[in-house]
Amino acid sequence: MSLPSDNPVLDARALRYPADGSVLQQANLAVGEGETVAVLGPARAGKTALLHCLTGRITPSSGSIWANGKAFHLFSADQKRSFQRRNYGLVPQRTGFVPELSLDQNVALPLIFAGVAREEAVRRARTWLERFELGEHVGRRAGSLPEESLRRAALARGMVTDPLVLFADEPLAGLDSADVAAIARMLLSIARSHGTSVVFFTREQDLAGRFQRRVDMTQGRTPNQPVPTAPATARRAPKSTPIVPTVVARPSVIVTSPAEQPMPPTQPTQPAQPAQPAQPAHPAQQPQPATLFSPPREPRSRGGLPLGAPDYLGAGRAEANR
Amino acid sequence: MSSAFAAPRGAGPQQSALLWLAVRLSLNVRGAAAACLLRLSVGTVLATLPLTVLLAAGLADALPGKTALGLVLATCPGAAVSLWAAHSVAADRAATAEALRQVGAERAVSWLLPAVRVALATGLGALVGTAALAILRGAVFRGLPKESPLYRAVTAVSSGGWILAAIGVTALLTVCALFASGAGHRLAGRLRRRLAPRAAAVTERSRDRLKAR
Repeated sequence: MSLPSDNPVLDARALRYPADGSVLQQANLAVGEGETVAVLGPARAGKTALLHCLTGRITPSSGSIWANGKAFHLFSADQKRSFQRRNYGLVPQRTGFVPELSLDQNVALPLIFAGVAREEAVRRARTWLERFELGEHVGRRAGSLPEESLRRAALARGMVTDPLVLFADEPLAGLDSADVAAIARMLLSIARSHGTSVVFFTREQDLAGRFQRRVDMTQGRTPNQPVPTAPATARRAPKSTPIVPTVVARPSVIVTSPAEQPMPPTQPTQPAQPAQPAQPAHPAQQPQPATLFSPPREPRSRGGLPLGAPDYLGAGRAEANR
Repeated sequence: MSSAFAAPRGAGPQQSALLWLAVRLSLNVRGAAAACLLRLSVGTVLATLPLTVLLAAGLADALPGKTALGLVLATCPGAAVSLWAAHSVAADRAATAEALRQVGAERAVSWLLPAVRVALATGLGALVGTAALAILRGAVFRGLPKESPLYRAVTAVSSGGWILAAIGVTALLTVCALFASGAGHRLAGRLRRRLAPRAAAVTERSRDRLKAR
């Protein structure tokens, strides 16, 4: 099992739900940028509850969730919904399609509800359907398609907003192994090429083995994961309020891992930038001993777009990733 | 908390897109769902005729008890057809609402969009029923004996009373259809599970099997 990224886009710690811990107790999950993680566990292990906690559908009794460097657990319901629309893709266990709409219109719905014009949304949905090899079905009604195609369409619908993290809750359950293998390969390839992190909840060991990392979950618990050492910087910074690294470069940097090559020294930040409102510090932003210090990273943005303006083409992030 | 979230943002769906969705979900219905909506409209037409007379004459305070009971009984077949059809539509309505919630629709929007077609089908039925009553009123009531309580009740109603009754009946039937295809359906399911859990489980399994086919 490989270790999670040191700069997670999603970092959930010690989640407990409900208060007595009967569903989730001490559930941890850290997902790096572009990382694919399978959460493996039997039925009633708390996988769906964990997913609902991570996506804000239910509020955990205790614990913290840091998403893209923000304290997701402190958001209000509206803020969670807004954040989810822009940053998360969801593929539920039973994906519902609207029978009155064609497949491309169904896949376009997340974009439409995020404020993208209908024609543009449908155009992008067609592109995504073609990526999932469903190009010949775009005009057909969802009800007339075979189950395997519907599952691929569900994944396309999850990816259509070019999310930072795609959550998939057993989306391939019930399919035969050949279809599962083909769809999983397709999903992983597309996610890798778009730099999308994938959190895939499953109960199938073989399928979980295809992902970069596997997290076992039993009775609402996940094993403790290594704590990231660097602060998670927001990847989608608003144009008006750029996020400024708060950590000033130190003269001596000790790199503990061979994978972490020393970066060139960065310039101290300018104090003239507008100050961010008080936000609780990420656990990784607490003062660290010098041996654990990693050089600060440049703040990333999606092509300088404001948070309110959806950048579903992903051009901004692709540029930022370069 | 980030200031970016404190500022209002216009990231919701465009009004034109919502309108397009409402029209699409209402008019592009096919198969079993279309048949259910047709049944709902026909049932509403049948219920509208006696119910409008009942309400109009009731408002004019010119209706004897026995005549009112007769009109209530005359409403029953149409009301039963409407309720049955609304009950059948409920599963589709719930599935559409769930699908819309999954793609990020607000709770109110995901409730409203599938409800529009139920309201439209009921409203259309009530409109046809009212038009039929307006056209046939003279011919039907001319055949009644002049001394009959219904004839006296009907002739006592003013034009305004008829209009008020038609609006009232449309609103009443629409609310009933929305309730029967939404909260009423859920309530009935809960009651059925409590009273006959095994029968309810068998019904749900067979429905799932049919859906899978």
